[in-house]
Amino acid sequence: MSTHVDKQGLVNYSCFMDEKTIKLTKVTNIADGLAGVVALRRLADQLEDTLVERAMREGWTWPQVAEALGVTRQAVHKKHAKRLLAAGVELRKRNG
Amino acid sequence: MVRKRITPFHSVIQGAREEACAAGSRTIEAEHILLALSSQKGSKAKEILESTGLDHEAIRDALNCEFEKSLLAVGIQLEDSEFTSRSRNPDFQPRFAQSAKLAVHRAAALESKRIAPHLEPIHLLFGVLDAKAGTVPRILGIIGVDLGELRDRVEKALSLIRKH
Repeated sequence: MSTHVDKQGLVNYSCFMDEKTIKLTKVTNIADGLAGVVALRRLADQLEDTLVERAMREGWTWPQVAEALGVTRQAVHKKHAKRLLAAGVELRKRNG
Repeated sequence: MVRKRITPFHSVIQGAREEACAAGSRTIEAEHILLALSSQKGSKAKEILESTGLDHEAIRDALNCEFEKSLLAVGIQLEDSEFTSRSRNPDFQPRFAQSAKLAVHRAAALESKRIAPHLEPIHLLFGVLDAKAGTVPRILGIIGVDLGELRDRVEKALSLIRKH
């Protein structure tokens, strides 16, 4: 089973919902597996950027995004604020 | 005010930084140096790369292919690798990753005067190609480059530089 990622960077979670788990392919070749680790880190970065932008466009606050990602508000703000401002995203400072 | 001369070596490093930014990468990797070398007009490094089929587009395509193949190796299938279009921080400065640092160190180790004015893009090409593992050897394998022959040509070019 593979986990599919569409062109908007959104993971198709249906396979998670059915089986409650991701079955990673058994890595037979160590070099391929290690390259996979590198690619997964890059994919995680790309997904984070895509989804944080979507969240902020949909009105999430920095504390909400930070809590969802398990990092501090300062960390998520430092990492994403300039990028989102440059993209014209209206950033909310407080909830409500 | 004294303006610092931009050497071809520095120009490749700046190019690698731009390649990393364009790819949305938070770090400058060895493959970004390779991409920059393939864009360095008039350089011996670009000439050697192109003669073995390694132009900018071929390297870019191989990088996308390697990314997808590496994800497949751990069970992740991308339906479209072009989903990377994301907003960019115009002020963001990617930092050097270990793969790029190693390439620069290998380049510098070729000459006794390990400072940039004595180093050319071809030194960097040697440094990038000398990697034993990682993304660059993998994309060269995908393209089907004869790495031994490519290294020989780079070493010959380096020996010509030393004679002058």
